[in-house]
Amino acid sequence: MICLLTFHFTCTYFYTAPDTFNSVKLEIISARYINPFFHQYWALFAPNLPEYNVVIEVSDKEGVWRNISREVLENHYAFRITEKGRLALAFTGIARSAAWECAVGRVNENDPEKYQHILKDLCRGYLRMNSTDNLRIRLTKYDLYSVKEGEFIF
Amino acid sequence: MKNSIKILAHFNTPFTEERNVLFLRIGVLIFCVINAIHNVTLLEYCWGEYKMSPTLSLGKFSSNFVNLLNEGGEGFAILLIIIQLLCLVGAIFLKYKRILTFVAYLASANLINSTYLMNSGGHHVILLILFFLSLINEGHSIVNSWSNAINKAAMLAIKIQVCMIYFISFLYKIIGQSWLDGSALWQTLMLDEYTLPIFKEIFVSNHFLLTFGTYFVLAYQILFPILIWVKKVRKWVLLCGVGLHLFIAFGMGLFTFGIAMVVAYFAFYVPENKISFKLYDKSSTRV
Repeated sequence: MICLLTFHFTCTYFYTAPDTFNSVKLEIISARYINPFFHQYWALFAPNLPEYNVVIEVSDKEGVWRNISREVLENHYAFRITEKGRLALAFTGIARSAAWECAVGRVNENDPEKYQHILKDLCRGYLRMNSTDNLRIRLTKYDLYSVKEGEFIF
Repeated sequence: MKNSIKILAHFNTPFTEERNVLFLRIGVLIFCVINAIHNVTLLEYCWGEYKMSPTLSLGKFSSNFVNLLNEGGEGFAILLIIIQLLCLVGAIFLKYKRILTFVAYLASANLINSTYLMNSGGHHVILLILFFLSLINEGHSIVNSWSNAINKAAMLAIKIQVCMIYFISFLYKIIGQSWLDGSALWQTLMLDEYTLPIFKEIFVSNHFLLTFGTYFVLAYQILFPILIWVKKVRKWVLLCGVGLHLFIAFGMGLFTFGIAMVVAYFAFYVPENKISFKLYDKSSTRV
């Protein structure tokens, strides 16, 4: 029992620990044991927090923008224990990654617009649109003091 | 030598944490009911026509067992939710605790993995607890039996897992600048999805409180894995933790994570209750 517990939690450590306190080789070996049944990730707002907010607006016609962020976040603030929070976290997390992707350029070699595609699918789902329907998204990036930093349309 | 014998002997002493296991089972059931209500409300976004979480690329054969809902399917998802909840209830009342909890674990893993974009760390906490709970049958506590030893090891594993969460999270935080300079809590409350407008108004101008809060979180995360094993302070450590996780649940809006961590605390401590669990007291004295 002691051997099993020691083995399990040693693997868990190497699978989850940050690179600074980890070994790449042991991390890869541990992943073979940990995945898929014991997968976990405990960075929890660390090492660094995002330094910007992103507002999502969608439009199926030229010039008419609908602010999805406001709708989702207001529901999240009003209904704290409901599923609204999970929607809000999904939207804001992906929108932040998509804005970062737009700003930095090619982030993922295999799919340079990975997060933009995921966000488009999320918005289409939210608006109950078909996957073939035309949809434009405008992401506006604000710093933590609400100063506009950039805008991306795709 | 004496210490190592003591550690080895630990697995042969009778399993006496039936109350903790019962509370864990009830806590996990409550979490799964809340999660089921969320998922059914978002049924078409979770597994239906407008499925939000993209399909995972499965690398291993074993991944298939916990990713059956990868491509969606509302009917199958509802069936899994029913199986999950029935098995969790069954594990509380029936004697086939291990098999029922393991089936509940498999159903939960499939449900949770297929909605990963909408999950929090709380879902992983519950999955890990469920896996270890599936190794426990609190009815089997005969001294020097394998079943008893597995019960004890699984309970210990749940406790170490909770400590691990705090320890790993602490390691990530001490390499982050905002945690070291004390601004992390302020920064968190400035992010749209992790705040409440009223919290922003009250706390954001109070820099002392926010800096204290940041260092309190850091201190709590490194001290928890040590102090939780000290019986005298255990209750107070857990009380601080409950406060912290209720703030995370309601203040920061990570409801499922906050609740899951409070549920995990039942592994360490269960408040005294004179009215209920007399049944458990009787059975333990019999053993």
